[in-house]
Amino acid sequence: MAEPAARVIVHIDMDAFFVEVERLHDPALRGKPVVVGGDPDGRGVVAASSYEARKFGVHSAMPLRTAKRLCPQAVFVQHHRGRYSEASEEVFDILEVFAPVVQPVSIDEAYLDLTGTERLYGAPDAAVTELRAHIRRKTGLPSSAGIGGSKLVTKIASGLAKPDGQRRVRVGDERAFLAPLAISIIPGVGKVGERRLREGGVRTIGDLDRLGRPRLEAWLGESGVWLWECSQGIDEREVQPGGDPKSIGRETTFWEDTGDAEFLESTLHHLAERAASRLRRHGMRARTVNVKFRTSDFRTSTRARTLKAPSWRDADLIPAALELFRQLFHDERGGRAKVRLLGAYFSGLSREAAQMDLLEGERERREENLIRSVDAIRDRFGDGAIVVGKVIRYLEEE
Amino acid sequence: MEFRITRSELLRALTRIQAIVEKRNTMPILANALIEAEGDKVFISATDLDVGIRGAYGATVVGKGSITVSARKLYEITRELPEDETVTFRTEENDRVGISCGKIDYKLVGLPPEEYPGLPKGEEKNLVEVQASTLRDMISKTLYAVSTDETRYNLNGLYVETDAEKGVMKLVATDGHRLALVTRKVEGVDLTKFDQGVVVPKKGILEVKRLLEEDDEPVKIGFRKGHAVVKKKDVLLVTRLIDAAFPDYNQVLPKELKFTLKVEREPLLASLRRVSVLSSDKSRSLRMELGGGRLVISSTNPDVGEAREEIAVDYDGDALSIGFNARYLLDAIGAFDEKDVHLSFNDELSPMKLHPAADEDAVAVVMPMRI
Repeated sequence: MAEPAARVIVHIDMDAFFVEVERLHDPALRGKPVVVGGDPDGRGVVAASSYEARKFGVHSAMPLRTAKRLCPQAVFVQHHRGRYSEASEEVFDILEVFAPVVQPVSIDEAYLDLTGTERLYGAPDAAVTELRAHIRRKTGLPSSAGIGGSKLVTKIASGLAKPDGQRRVRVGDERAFLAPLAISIIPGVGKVGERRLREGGVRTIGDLDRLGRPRLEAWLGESGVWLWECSQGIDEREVQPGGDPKSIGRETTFWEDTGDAEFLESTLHHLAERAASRLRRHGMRARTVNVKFRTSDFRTSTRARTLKAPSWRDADLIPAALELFRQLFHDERGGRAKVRLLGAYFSGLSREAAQMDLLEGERERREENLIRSVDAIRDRFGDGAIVVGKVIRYLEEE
Repeated sequence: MEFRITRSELLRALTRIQAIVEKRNTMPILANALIEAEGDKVFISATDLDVGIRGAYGATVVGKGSITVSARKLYEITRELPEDETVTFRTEENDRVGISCGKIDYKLVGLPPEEYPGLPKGEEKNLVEVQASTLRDMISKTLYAVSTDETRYNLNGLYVETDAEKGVMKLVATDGHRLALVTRKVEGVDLTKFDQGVVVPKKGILEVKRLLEEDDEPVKIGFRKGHAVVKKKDVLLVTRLIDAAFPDYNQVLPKELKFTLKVEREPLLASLRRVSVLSSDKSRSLRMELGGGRLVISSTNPDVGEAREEIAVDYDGDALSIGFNARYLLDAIGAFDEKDVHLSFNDELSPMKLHPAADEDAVAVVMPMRI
């Protein structure tokens, strides 16, 4: 059997993701220390912080009050989950088109397997440079990447390349690359493990290498073997493709709570349209349409409707969403409620074959061509490039 | 009222009405059969207000009169009575009915006949005679495609159309995904007596089918004023028509088809059945791939597995891969009865037309699935 070609794995990690997404919404945050999490005098914790704030010792999961003490000049902003997942989906859309196998690790991090793409993309360094530039052009977000032959090495390399950089570790160079690094850099070595290793005189990954496998095994058992493998850069774990999404949706939080039904419908139409377009990009159909709605007193209501047959057509999905919204809006104090957050979600997703209609076949085919053209225009020029009249109001006001 | 009737004649009458009597109990009396005795005949009727049937049966009438009584119980009783016996049927006080057969006696609670709503009022004039075998064949080749989706009310029946000039009658059914159309010459029949284009509800058609399956006795049919009437010797069937427009099926019939394939019917059916075992429970989809002189039928069910079967065919058209609901193909091809079947199509997203090789007047059209 021929020796299998060396794997080409990339770990791509968005830089200060939440902060950068907030900066897209409020450019005044650029260049300033920013802490995402909310009221600095409240009891919350830091969800993310900018590099400027990190210099002062601010880090994730730290109480916001502590962060304020460390960095009083920081701008504290609310956490907007909808914004991050939306931005994340945009990034993953790009990754999925680019790489044959994408394994999402978290909202802002993924492993890619580029093995066998050299003929398509050329050398991995150049391909990843181009990928990161493309992400930046399409989403405005910076990222860093590690390139190498295993998940372990690429994950460590992307961390070292931050911010806005990339680092390649060639196959065969792993030991030399890892040797000077502190053992705590190994994902999976926590505080306890670090202390124990330090007590044994191990500070760097090179120290593990020098101890050798038999002594590490005798000392730490299976963990010892694993640590030794880490020191050699051995990590056979494969890049596992992520599963299909369970639901696809879009939501938005308004700058100011609003009770303007026409504006809300315009907004929902836009959200549903974008979610539907995303559904089609995944090649999926939805059976259930959901609308989510939060009023100014922070009460959240949702309502769902099941369609007769799974669909990806705007003509099935959007009217159902609008109808649900009208019900919800009416039930909330007879249409006098002020709305803070609005969302449209599609669930019951599948790739099941879909029966075409005989009587409506010709119309359906024409509509499908239209939808595909519109999706193609949006892919190229952005969601706002082509919209139905109803959505203009939303786009003008938000 | 009192009459004597053979068990077999009574059972024949009661079997005929079982499918019609109301099971949902919206009006209790609709669960009853109307029984009337007069001259040397007993008339037994049932209706659900949409479909009604009235038959005349030979009996010895001792005293004339009428009553209604549970059609279901009377049927169950009669079925259990000894064969070749005579049954005596008489009304008693308070709308009770006494049934005796030798030493067996039943008493049933009935309801007064005055409360019985009567059959839908069909017009018995201007009926035309049709061969039972012709009508039977037309129904069996179309009935499967009738929609059962109650929201598509206008598709819940068979569309009947006549072309007096060509001397043909057409039956059409569609559920929006597939369509069946049969055109037959109706010899020596004055079709100008029919109203144009009516939709007969499925339940009525099922009753007609049952009548036609009893024997080869010709039937007289007519469609007038919102009702269809079918008359056979001593039985009259009336059904209300669906008061909604049937879609213009001519628009749906593919006119120009690029590729045609001739396949032996029985082996194709068997292959479709084998492959459909593993088609997905939800969509029932299977794939037909054509090209290089063969037809490959396959199905995939992510939870269960996959099936694939190859059939050698005489085909030199474009390579195509079309998805279909297995059920629709089985229904359409299963309804044909000749040795070979023709499949014609254009592409993956257009309807496929099927017909028996030697009978272009029995057509099925099936819309593909997107796979």
